[in-house]
Amino acid sequence: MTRFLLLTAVSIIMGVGAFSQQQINNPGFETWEDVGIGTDEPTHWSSIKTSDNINLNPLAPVVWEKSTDAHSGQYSLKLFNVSTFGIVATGTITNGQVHSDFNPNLGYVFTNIENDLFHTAFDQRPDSLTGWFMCNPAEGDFGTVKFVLHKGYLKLPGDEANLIATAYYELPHVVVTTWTRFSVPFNYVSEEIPEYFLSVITSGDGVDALDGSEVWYDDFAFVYKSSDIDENSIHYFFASQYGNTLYVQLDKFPARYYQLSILNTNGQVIFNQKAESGNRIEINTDQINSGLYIMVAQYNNRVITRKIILH
Amino acid sequence: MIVRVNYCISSLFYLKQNINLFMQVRGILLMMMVGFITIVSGQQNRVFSGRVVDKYTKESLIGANIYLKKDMGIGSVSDFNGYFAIPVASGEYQFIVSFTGMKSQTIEVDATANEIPYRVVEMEPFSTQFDEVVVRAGRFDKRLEDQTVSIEVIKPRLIDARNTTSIETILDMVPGLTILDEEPQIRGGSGFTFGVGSKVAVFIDNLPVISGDAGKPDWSLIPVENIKQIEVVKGAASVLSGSSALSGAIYIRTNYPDIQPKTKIKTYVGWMSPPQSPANRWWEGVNYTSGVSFLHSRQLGNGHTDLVIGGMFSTDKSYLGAPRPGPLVIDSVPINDNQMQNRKARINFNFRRRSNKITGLHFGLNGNFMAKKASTVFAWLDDTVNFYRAYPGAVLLSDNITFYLDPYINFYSSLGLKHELSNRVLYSDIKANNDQSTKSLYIYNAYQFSKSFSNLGNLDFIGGVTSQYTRSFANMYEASGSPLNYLWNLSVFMEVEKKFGDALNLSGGIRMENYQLNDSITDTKPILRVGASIKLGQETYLRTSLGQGYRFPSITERYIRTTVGSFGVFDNPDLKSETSWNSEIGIKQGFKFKNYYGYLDMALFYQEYDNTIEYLFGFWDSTYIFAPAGFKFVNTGKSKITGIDISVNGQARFGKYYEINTMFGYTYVMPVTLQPDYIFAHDYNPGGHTEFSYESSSVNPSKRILKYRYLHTLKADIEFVYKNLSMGSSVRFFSKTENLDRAIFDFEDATVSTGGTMQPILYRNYYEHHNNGNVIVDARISYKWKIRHEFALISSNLLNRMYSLRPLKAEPMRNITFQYILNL
Repeated sequence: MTRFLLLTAVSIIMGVGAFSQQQINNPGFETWEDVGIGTDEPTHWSSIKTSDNINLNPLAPVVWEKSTDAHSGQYSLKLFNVSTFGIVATGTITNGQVHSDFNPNLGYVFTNIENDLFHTAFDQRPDSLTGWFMCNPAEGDFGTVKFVLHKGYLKLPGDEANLIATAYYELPHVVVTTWTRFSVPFNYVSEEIPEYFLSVITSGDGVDALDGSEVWYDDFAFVYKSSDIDENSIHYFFASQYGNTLYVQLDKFPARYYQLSILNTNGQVIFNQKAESGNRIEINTDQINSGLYIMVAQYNNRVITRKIILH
Repeated sequence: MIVRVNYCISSLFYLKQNINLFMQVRGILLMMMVGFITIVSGQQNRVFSGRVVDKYTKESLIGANIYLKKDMGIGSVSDFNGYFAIPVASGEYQFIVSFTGMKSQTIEVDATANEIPYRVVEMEPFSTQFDEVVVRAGRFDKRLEDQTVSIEVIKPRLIDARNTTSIETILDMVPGLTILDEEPQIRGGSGFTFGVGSKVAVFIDNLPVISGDAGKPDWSLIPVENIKQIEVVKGAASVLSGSSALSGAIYIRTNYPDIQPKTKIKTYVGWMSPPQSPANRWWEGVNYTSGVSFLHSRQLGNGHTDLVIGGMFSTDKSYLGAPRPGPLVIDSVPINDNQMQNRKARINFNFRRRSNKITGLHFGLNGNFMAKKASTVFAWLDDTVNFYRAYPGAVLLSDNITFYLDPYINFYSSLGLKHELSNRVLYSDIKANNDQSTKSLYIYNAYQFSKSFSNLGNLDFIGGVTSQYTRSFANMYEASGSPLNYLWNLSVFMEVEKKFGDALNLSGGIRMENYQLNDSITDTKPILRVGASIKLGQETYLRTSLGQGYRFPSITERYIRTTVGSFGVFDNPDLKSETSWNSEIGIKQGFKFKNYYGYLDMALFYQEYDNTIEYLFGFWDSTYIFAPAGFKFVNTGKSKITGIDISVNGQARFGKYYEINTMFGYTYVMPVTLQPDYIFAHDYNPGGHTEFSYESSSVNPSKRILKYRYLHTLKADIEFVYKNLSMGSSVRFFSKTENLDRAIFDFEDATVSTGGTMQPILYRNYYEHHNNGNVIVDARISYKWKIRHEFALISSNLLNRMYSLRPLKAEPMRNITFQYILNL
């Protein structure tokens, strides 16, 4: 809870504008609803048991649960893969709707523009997507997060004609037992304004998912550019912590050196190093207390900032 | 100590009638001769007369020998009504009265007075247990100990004693035979396929009673009120019993009248005890069972016509309640508890006429009509509170109308030729839910010829031809291209048997089976058998046999295509015929231990099966349109079964009033697959084609034991009789189920994972915690009052055990029945 408050406070400090932009509904899975399938679904999200195939819905396994192991707030979302009769049902949740089929290759997720329950109107162009996870994949499997911005109808996979931007994150193939943040940029392929966004969050690798994989998700957020951040560079400043190592990379910049700093919430610099864009820096976090920090990449007169929680 | 046991031939009624006529003539001639001698000698002016009857039934004994002890040349035989008369001179005599199967008696006759008192001689059987005669199970009318195959014989005594309302409950007492939810298993020779494609042939009066389309025995059709004897042949018996007798055959023989008319009325009322855990009780008030049956048999027309009429009506509330699905489950066919009630009415008759004009000719017509309303439950709702409730979609409600008519004509010539022409027309109209109604017509014709060739050292020959024609109409068989399907079976068989001296009996037979299904599928198969029995001692008989079995898949197995709830049942037109062979060696030993007379029978057997048909769950539809997944009959690999059968039957008598009857049987089988890795089928599992093998489809493949088999079964029955009071108890033990289909556990996982939108199919926990074998105890007590009346209190499952013998099916809780029998 403390971390959540800090995160909120820092976010406000770093730019009120960011949260004034359109966001994901129920991003931290704090509210759940009974939709008549025996197991509550997170509000504004839909599963394979509320698919458009009413004959298969009763047969579909429950592949999610309300977890009290939360990154912030009370709950998080746990997705898991279930095997029945040799078919692995991938833990999947979406803000759109699932089209289910006995043949997994024929299943997809789509924006149901006819039904308000299964689409989210959205006309913004966020810069990136962030979220938190823990994972316990079966060997060879991994969870995925995919958000797309689009106009009109779109289904994943299959029909991406109306695609405007994609943010895709592939979770580690290893067990991650602490809440870990990810951040991925939206890759825009069109200058158009979106009408909807569609998300597909899974605990396995689609049709190749393996039985037993588990992933916990919490606190998804769209991140919008702020005035002090270079418009063209915000997408390429990555950071993630695995164990006691923090990986940082400033990508797709012209090859040049920049100054990387990590500041605590009091503004004190606790780490400072020159780095080269395109290369990944590994920072040992043994000597750094858990908590919220600000990462700053600076070259010439340009500054890029990121917030990060270290464990 | 070996005791000499004579076997009653009373069941050979045909022969008895002929013998009786002969005896009558002989008696008259004897009387005339005696009269002539009397006139000549002028000395034998007294007549010793009387009647010979059965001590217990009081029925006349025809053909009993009454002869002078000192001179066996002087004597007579009892006539058609058991009467006899012997002229004697004045003096004191000792007469011997003997009758096959009865204890001979010596009677003192004082003929010094002018009139000799009229005597009624009551003959006592050696043992009610020992009057076993196999009439036809071995085709030849041979004594049980001369048979070369293992045969168990059940007498009707147990049928009334256990208040048998449907024959399978009494069959379940036969050692080596298990009725698994109406499906017969002999020596572990079959698994479980909901009764479809029975691997055990079932006959009433030598005519098949298995439904033509499904190959399923209809036990409810069997007239239990008129059963003379049940014979169970163990091991492959297709040469003798035709296709379906892959692992054995059951012969049920009905009764013809004795000389005295008999009328028997039986009525009963009973109730199911609440289960041990009150939470398992699903009904309000009394869960009753009740019924009435009658039987009247008599001879008409101066003994030339036999008539038997019987019938019954029964009703019960069913011990299994209707489904009560969970709040999120959509039950497409809601059923209430009242619809689970079972009702059955049946009337049957046997009519036989012996020709006045042509000696040895007799003909007749047997018939049986049944109307039945029944509920059949395939799976329980759950393995705890709803143990005695049905799973939604797994209840078949049916209204059945079934009847058969059996016209026949037999001719036994004076030269020892026997010609028998038997026919059956069986029609069944089953209206069922889930679009599973069927109408089928089954016509069976058989001609059989037999003769004993005395010039070839009493070589017995039997040969014949049978035809079985089935016409079935059912929407669920439309996968053949039409709901109308035809199956025709033609078979030719012959068997020879020869006895060498009094000790050795050899037999051999061959049968050729030909099947034709819808003018498109044909199959021909020759089948062989050989056997021998040797009398090693006075009551020691050794037997050995080698026989083949063959079964052509039924219309149902090939063409059924229907849905059950969310799942499908898929056709498999490419099914192959099942085959088997069986070898065994057995010994039958008579013994006496103090007052106990008995028989020990022990058999070692080895059986192999090929192309065994099993019912497998999978994704059999490549389009997933008809139904995404379901069941299908498929040929699996080869398997073998080895084992031992032991039975001990006997009787002890203590004085005039005390009697103990015992029956004990133990069977051990080791049924194993010979091809654990053989992949016998692939499906269209969207997760990747499933390769079905024994290994992949079994819950516990480690020991290679076949599914749904009990390695150990034990059956025992003991009855104490004191005067008119008798008390008995039966015990059945089934060891644990070693292996079963993995699909059952997959079902559980799949349904549980839905979170309540599908009714969970729960079995794993029950299997893991209750699969330790089952002991079921039944008990009874009865009292006969003035011969005509018999009152009985009968309890099945006395200990009220909550148990299951096949996965997902609860067996009945304790039932207590009060029964009254009136004999007129």
